Amino acid sequence: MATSPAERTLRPLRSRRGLAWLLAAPLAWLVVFLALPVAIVFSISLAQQTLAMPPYTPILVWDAVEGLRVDVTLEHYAFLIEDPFYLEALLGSLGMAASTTLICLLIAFPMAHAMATAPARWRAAMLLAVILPFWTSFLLRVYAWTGLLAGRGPINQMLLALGLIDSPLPLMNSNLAVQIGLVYAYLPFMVLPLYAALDRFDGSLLEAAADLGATPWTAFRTVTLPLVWPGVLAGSALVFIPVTGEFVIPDLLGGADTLMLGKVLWEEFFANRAWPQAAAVAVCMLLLVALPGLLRAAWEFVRGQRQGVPAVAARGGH
Amino acid sequence: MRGALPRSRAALVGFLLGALFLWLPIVSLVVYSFNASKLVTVWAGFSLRWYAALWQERALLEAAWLSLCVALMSALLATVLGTLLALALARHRRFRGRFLVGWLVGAPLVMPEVLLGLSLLLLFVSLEQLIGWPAGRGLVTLVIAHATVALAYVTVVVSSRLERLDPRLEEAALDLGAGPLAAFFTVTLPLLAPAVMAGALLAFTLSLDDLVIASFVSGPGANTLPMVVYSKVRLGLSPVVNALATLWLAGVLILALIAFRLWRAARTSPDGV
Amino acid sequence: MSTAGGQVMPTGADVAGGAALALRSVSRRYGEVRAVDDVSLAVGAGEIFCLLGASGSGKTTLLRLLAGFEVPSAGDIFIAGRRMNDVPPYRRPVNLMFQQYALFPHLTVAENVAYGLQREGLPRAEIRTRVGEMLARVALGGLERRLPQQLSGGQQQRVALARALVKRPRLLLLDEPLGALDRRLREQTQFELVNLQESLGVTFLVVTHDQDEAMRLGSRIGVMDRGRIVQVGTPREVYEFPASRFVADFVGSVNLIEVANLVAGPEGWRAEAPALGCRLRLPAAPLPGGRPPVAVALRPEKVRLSVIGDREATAGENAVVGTIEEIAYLGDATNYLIRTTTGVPLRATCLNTAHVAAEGLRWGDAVGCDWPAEALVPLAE
Repeated sequence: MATSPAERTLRPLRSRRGLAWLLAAPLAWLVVFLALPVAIVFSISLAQQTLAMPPYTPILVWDAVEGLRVDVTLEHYAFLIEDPFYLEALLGSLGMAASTTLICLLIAFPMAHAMATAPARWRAAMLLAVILPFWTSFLLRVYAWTGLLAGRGPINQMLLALGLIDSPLPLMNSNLAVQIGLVYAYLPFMVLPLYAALDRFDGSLLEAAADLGATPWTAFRTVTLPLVWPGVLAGSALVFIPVTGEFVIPDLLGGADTLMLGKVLWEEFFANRAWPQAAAVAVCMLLLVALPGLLRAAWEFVRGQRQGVPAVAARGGH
Repeated sequence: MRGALPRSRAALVGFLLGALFLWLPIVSLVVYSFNASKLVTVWAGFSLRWYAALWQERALLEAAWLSLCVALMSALLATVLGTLLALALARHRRFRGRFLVGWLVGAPLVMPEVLLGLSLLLLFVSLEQLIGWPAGRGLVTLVIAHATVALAYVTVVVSSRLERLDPRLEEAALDLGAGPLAAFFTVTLPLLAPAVMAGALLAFTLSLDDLVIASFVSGPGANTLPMVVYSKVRLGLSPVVNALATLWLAGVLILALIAFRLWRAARTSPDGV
Repeated sequence: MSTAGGQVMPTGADVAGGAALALRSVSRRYGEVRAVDDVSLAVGAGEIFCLLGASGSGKTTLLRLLAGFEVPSAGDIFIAGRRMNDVPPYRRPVNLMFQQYALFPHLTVAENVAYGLQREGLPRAEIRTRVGEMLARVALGGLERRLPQQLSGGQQQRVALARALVKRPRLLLLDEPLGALDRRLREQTQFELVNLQESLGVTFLVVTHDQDEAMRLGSRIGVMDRGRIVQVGTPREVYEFPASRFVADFVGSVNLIEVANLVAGPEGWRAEAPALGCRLRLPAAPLPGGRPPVAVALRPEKVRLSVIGDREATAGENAVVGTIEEIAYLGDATNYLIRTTTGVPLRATCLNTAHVAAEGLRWGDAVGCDWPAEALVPLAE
């Protein structure tokens, strides 16, 4: 087929072949090091536990008598259901994730609002104030709280000096400490998407609402909230999902009664060497992670059907 | 004309309290790193002894060196791959499988670290059983694991920049006689450079900071800095860790200032952003 | 009536409700800057009043004062007889059509229009009827379920109009209502807007920087400059009898001529125009207050051009000679720039009433220019 010179010039950048060249390396990388591992986790969750290294039996077995045999078991999943320990860990994780998301939202909204409305010359400093802690080592920031919350740490000393308490509070190794640590570590993940959404928000819409008779609260409810909702969702996802799998914070700040999935998986793997069991926990976690995304896609689909327009169009602001 | 949101004094107070909450623990880390006492919770005068002690800890220094190597290599890999991916996604708005690629890119951003770590380790173990590679775990597996996670972040950073890039600029270059490759290297890439650099810096710090994934995919003898710090921290408070944290913070501050300048340059560049 | 000061103090009757809108010495200061400076104004019910001014003249601030987004630093605002200074925007019987429309991007056309009625707590059925009627009125029937970004610019403009009008405001404020439309659409929309206003009987207050728009829409025009209203009058008054050099220059194209050696005569003032090197005869009508004019305004279309040819001609009374330096053919008219013998340019516009009229004058031609005494508008400042 004849092609015009212009098409030929543009081909390397826009053609299908160009796409293949650009995509080949990164796509291969993602398939081998992201998709394949997830598949392997799934298969190993079906393998038998043994006392070897690696501590599981192969799934495909070549047997002289029966030929190729598939050796799988659902016992690790059955165990997840049988042992209430896992259900407690699941509920503990979900509860912590929910409360962390909510608290972060409550703290982050005024912060993001203040940033979005600040004079331009302050904004850079305000952004840095939020981003820098997030760039500082996660582990070291959690470590800082072990000092602050210690029995003789600054918080207890201050409370003692103020006469609010008679003896130091056992702050460390408690669910409260885990909650503080989680909110602390994940707050920037909530502030930044909210800031981005509020920054894009056109303030004249609020004036239009007021002009049409909406009180400030009504205007917030009917105009601001629906329009920054994508930011709220994004922030919530960035907080909720990683928190369900969080390991470092419950490990360093939590106590014996802190049950969270990330820690359970870690201990199954490193302490108990129960790799297939850990893989089963991982598969459950993966479903948990994928669930909100699937629900959202379904919701968007339904919404799009109802309005008779592509859901994507509804998202595009001005 | 876009109107501005009304300012709110309450929100400003909220911001200041929030910023205080974010910074107080960090400040306390720094303050106690100069404490003469071994007890991290009691102030006993100014001292630099923990910085001297830090210098004596061979395990920490070796781990820091390994972490730096891993961070540099994984950041380089992730930047190249992530930029390629971002270009492919920006140039081709529709192709079969775009949805799947988007999913693959998005996954590491939200997948819990324990999941990423476990799945990568099981991959390496299976590969070693099947084809004998990678033989053992250490630098190579660490670099691969970190590059995989950071790739996603680089793609997101570069993509968001590409989306705001005016496509007419490249067309103008073609119109003025630049070939497609020349147009890419003289127009697109320079405009993209701040975002690529910011992505690389993000990849670098992510790798330097990672404990969970590294714990899974690294082998005996290959301990990264967070792994060593973690084992120290588990044993209780240690002023040496405070000193390390202070140095780390200083490093991050410098890097962040560079990144921030790049980001600002990217935002205020004259292409009508 | 046109007034030189531009400031019309509203009467007691205006404030009591005779006028849809009355402003009494309203000012808005930001620090040292006076965005709106001691403005008094009365707008009658059913009027279309246009506030015309360049950007930064304070017209938008005045509009926002009326809508309630700004609080006056001094003075009083009355709408339909009620003092509005402390009433928040959501309780004012006024609606604003925003410059870029400010349509809610997450709501459909029908939801946008219903928004204000829902805030009044009206029953659903009534809201539905009123929204339907209003959308039919602005010819948007059938687009109820679209989102704003799926509409053309002209359709968006009509949604914004419907959203504001459905509340049946006493006064509708329009901020550059046609500014975002292309030229062809503007003319059509202008007529629609005037028709709608007439059939609904709502008072319109239009803010615009476009004098053409103000002339077409307005029953009266208020010209704003540096926070003050410098002239109020019908479009004809403002164009034919500008009160100041600023108004003459801002509204339409004009030749401003400095005058000297004024002599009052039986048929009016006589004067010299040193820049043009000619004598001037001014119309008999004296300036308000009997002050002597310092300059006169001469509209280009009032200048008559004639070819001189070889004949020797000189400047006379209300007449100069020069050569054609620039010609801009506009179709319906042709604009000429004539370099007079003193070197000062003079603008002239000729209507192209005949097919061949424009052929007569060419670049470099020597021409004579003259104008009747009534064409000169004396300016006191």
